[in-house]
Amino acid sequence: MKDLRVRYRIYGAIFEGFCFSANVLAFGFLLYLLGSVLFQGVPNINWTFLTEYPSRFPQKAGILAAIAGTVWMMVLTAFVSIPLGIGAAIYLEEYARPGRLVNLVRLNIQNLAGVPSIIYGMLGLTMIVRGLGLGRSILAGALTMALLILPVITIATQEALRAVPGSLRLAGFGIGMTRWQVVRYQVFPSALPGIMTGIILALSRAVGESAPLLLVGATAYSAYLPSSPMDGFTVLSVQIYNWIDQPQKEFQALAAGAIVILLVLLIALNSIAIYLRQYYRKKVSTG
Amino acid sequence: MQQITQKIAAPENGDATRTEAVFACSNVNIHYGDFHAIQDLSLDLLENRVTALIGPSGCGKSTFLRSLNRMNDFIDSFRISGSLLLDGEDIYAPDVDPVEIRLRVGMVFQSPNPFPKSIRENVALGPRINGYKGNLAELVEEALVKSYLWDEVKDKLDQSAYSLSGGQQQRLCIARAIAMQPEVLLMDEPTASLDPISTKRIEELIVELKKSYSIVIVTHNMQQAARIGDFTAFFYQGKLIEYDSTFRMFTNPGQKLTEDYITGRFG
Repeated sequence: MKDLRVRYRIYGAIFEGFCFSANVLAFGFLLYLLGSVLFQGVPNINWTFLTEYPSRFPQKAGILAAIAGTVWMMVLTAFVSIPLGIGAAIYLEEYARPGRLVNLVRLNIQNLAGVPSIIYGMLGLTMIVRGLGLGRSILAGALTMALLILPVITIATQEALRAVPGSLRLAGFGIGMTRWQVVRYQVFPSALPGIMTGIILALSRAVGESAPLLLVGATAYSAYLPSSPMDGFTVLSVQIYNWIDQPQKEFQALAAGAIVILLVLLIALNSIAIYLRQYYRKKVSTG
Repeated sequence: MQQITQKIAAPENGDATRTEAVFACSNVNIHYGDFHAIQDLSLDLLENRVTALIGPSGCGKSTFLRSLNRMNDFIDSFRISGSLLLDGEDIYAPDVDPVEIRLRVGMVFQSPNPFPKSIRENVALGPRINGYKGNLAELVEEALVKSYLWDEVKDKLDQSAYSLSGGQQQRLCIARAIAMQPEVLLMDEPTASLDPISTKRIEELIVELKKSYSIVIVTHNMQQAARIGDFTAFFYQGKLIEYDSTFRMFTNPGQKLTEDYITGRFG
């Protein structure tokens, strides 16, 4: 009896220790990474860096084009992927008759979310750049990115919709609401915080991706700001990739600076996600 | 109409005035897949009366209740045959929109399920999105007064409905249903999750509401059926065993099974 107790206490301590060290390891690596990037990157961030175009000379090179390209890319991607993703999810959860076909579609959307991003790049290159004849434009890049995050948005929306209690739907139907009214006035507002969070996390994934855009044709040296969706472009992640590839140490330091900017952007996006979630959580019960 | 006189003897509790049938059901059969949930049921539900549906769990009373405003349509394996006439109109006719039926036959559920919105919005939303032309504020007040809730909430209409107690939430759900100005109110064990005091308030409310609406209530509580029901229908294993004035059912039931159930010998 007593032996057993002692044994379980030991097991418990070992398990706790393991969980703790897993945390320390993960967090430690992250800290090291952040620290070294900040250490190398921050000294490079100055006005020139933020307002200049890329250059052969490290001291004159900047990331203005990359920042502009990233913003263009994000906005266009959002425009395409948000309505499609939410629409698909609402159809699957609220309208489609449950059955084998719906399950098959669901399963495949989950699979699509796990497909490596380079595959989407190849798809974009064949179908969008060449097939649709959009060329190496921002629009082609954004459509490719939209395909990449479409499953992520769809899954997040589906989960948010599924978290809305069924009693709420019945309440609406019980007083004679149509399905559209139930979705529009009950289900969607309740699911909105979850949907927003999913969207922003998906968009930040798109901002951080580089592989598909390399294939679709983001350029490394963009010496002008894009003025239409059909212009060529570069984005922060591609700019970073290119600079890291350069043999000169100075360029690698510049890459670190760009990483810091990208991180700031991602943290800002995630903060917005957290803020929106809190805001709507409060609003949803009184609005 | 002959059928009714057969089944409902003149009530002896003073409620002798017969009213029109709001629902006339004949030979109703309901299946869920292979399960025969309601077997050859015929009964009429009377206008401005409270009809209590009683019976042990799984006897089909809730199934029948939900078929009265087509809430069973959401269940895939649900099939129904026979005729259910609401004011003489078959509610399962192919050209009937279930939404129209639910506008005329409102529903209150077992556990209170207010919308995650303000108290005011809970009542006003339904009429507003259905193009109510009158004064919404008045309608809200009227519905809340009718459901005995107005005095408790008139100073906090903009607070969340979730800030109310369970009993208040259930009365809010009733207010939400009557704001749609239905003809019939269906209640599926509306006090099952409430304490005795809240239950008493809801029962008083139901008795008051029958002046304006026809009410069908499913209850597991025999005393409740006796207290508020004008008529009581006893279901057992998918069949309607007996249907009569509540007074008759509880004092002199025609069937041994009814007596056994009411006196608590089973169920």
